[in-house]
Amino acid sequence: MSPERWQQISRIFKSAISLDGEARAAFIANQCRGDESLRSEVEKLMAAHQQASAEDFIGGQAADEGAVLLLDEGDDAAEEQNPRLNKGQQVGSYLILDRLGAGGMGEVYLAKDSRLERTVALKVLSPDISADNRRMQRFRQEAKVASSLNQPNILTIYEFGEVDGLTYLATEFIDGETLRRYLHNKRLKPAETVDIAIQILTALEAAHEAHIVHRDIKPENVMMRHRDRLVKVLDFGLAKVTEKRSRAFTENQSEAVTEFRTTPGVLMGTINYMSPEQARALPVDERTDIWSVGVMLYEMLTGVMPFSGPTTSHTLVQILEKEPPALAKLKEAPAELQRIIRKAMAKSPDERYQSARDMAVDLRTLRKQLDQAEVLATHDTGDTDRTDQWREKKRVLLVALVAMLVVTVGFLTFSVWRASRARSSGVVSTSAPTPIPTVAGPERRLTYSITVQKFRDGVYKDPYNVRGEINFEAGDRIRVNFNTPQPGHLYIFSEGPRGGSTVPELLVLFPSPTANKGLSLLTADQQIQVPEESWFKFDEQEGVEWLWLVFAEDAVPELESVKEFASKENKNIITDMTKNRIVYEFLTAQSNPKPAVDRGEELTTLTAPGKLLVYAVRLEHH
Amino acid sequence: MSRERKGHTLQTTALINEAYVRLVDQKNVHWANRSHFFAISAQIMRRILIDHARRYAYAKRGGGAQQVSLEEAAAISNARGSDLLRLDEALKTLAEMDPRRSQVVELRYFGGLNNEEIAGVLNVSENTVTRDWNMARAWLYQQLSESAAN
Repeated sequence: MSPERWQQISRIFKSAISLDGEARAAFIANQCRGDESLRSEVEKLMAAHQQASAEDFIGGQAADEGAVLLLDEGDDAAEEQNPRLNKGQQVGSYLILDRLGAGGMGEVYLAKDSRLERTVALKVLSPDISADNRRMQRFRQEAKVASSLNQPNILTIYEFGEVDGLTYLATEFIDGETLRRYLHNKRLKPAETVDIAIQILTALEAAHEAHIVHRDIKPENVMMRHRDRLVKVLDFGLAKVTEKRSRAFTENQSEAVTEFRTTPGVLMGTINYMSPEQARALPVDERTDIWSVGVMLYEMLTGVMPFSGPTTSHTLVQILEKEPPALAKLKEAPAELQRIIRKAMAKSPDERYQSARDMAVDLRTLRKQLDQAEVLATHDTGDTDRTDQWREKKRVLLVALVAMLVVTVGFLTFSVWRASRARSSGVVSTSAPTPIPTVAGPERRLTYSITVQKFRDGVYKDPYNVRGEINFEAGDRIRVNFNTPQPGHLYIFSEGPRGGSTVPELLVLFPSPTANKGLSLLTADQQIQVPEESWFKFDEQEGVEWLWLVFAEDAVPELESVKEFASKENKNIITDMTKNRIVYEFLTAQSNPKPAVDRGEELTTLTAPGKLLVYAVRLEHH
Repeated sequence: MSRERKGHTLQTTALINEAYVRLVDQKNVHWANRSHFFAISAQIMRRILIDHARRYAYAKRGGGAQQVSLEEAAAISNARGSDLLRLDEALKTLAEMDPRRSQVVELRYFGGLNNEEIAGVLNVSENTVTRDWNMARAWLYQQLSESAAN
């Protein structure tokens, strides 16, 4: 189809889609007059449109469909049925004891190395992987990197070899589970969280000293041994050897760096632990691992990942731009731990801990404090005998206090009685209480804040509150939040840029049928957002707009009479010109003198003497 | 579009991980802004899925060393896989006639963006995105039903 033809069809389609039945047929017939093939194409497309909507064609996400594809490809079920090795079978010097599991890379067996009489985990690669140079390269890398690191918190690799056409990796066997499974959406206590993090950092310290960055630290790559909760870091398959060591390690560094995982079974990872610099494709160093440990600490404490969006892109944008939800809400998280996590998760690597060791030092200090706190807590409640004694002492003390109180009150009563007698007898007493007025007279107070969302590079940025009345730009959108420190009637109008006429067009924003059930009366301390669900968006037209606020002790009849215009059909415009003028005259007449304006960090407080407050917020945009 | 679909999350993220590492390691990718980022991420997602579908189709034809032992499961995914391949082909044809509509589909179906976000990326109104989507989807549907019938 030629682009011209396509344009022609799409023009007709676009209009026809909004028409129904006969009107649509007539429209198409009219547009395609004299061109039967055009008409047939448009009609076929309309029919396809209806079918496609009915079937929700490509209505989901490709990734979900693709995931099914991958899942089948991984084909655990198939391997479940046909293990490649059987119990009792001998593979080289390894005697197969049991099958531990299977993943996309192959199968894992529990085996006994008859040479050294030790139990090992034997990862046997599936044949298509052994035939794939790139994957083999990755495997060799993992073997090389990890076996060069001799540290108790790093899974030991014994051997990478080939026998009888099987490629295998023999590693230390850990009787335990991954941290992912251990966490299983639960929260850990700060002490345990810190213990685990310290061990991970100890492993990383060793790796970093050898100029190896793990790059893929996450709960799936951390094992916990059942017996003693010893932590082991595994999977150096994505590890990057930093410059100093690169020659010694990889014959072809570019190959090692561009290596990526292609196998679904082992791919159960996430991108949620990726650092901002990784996300930006910038060079990474040791500090990327620090970030990931920070993310894990956060998750262990809260049970949720700090960055997690509906799709990868969204998650990555969060990693790049958002601060994680504050930990302060978690009472169990000590302030020091919060600080450590914040520092580990600083967006800029320069502001993070510069080494795993530094972070571990802080965590160890904190761990000691946690221990001491626990010891103190135990003293408080642990020793029952002493607690009982203490309770007894408290009871005695309480009785004494009550007795003193009774005496004091009695004495005071007596004094007041004496004083009143003195006053009635004409003697001025200095001890008589004088009430202090708390209210100087009637006044109206209203607070508000403006939330703005900037439109940049084609997307909306995170909303934030602005102080004062700033200049907005086309595309920005705002909402205004009100709080009523006292009960009263609230009315809000918006005044558009003034045209030729002297009386501008006014829009009723509050009350509206959807906000506060159409009532202007608010109770004390009520929160109101305007517009209640959406945003005001600044268009291209420059100028100054005003947001009129009226907060009155009693209902204002002039303003009550225009409530009916606050409807969607009306676009909130006061279409009755007479009423529009009356409201406008009321607003301008009552807005002088202006209320006192107190601008805080985010909240602005308006105060006016009397029973009526009228104020216009200036919204200027360019 | 059901972005909240839960069932496949784990597998989806798995796929993503690969997509991402691939993206990251492409040395020359330095996106200018978030829109650019979304656009690239959708593109890469598409490439990866298509690669997988192609590999799968190849294995099914008897190529490669992979043994497909569970016939039934394979048949299901093979159908899905070939759908994806045909969709990809149709999208390429669409891109020649109408690059923007093709991109709307890419961003939404492969990138997982909603219409508002797509409007931001392409710098058009949301209404335009909805219209583009309707037209493109109808056309793709037509192409796929025709090629399936042949």
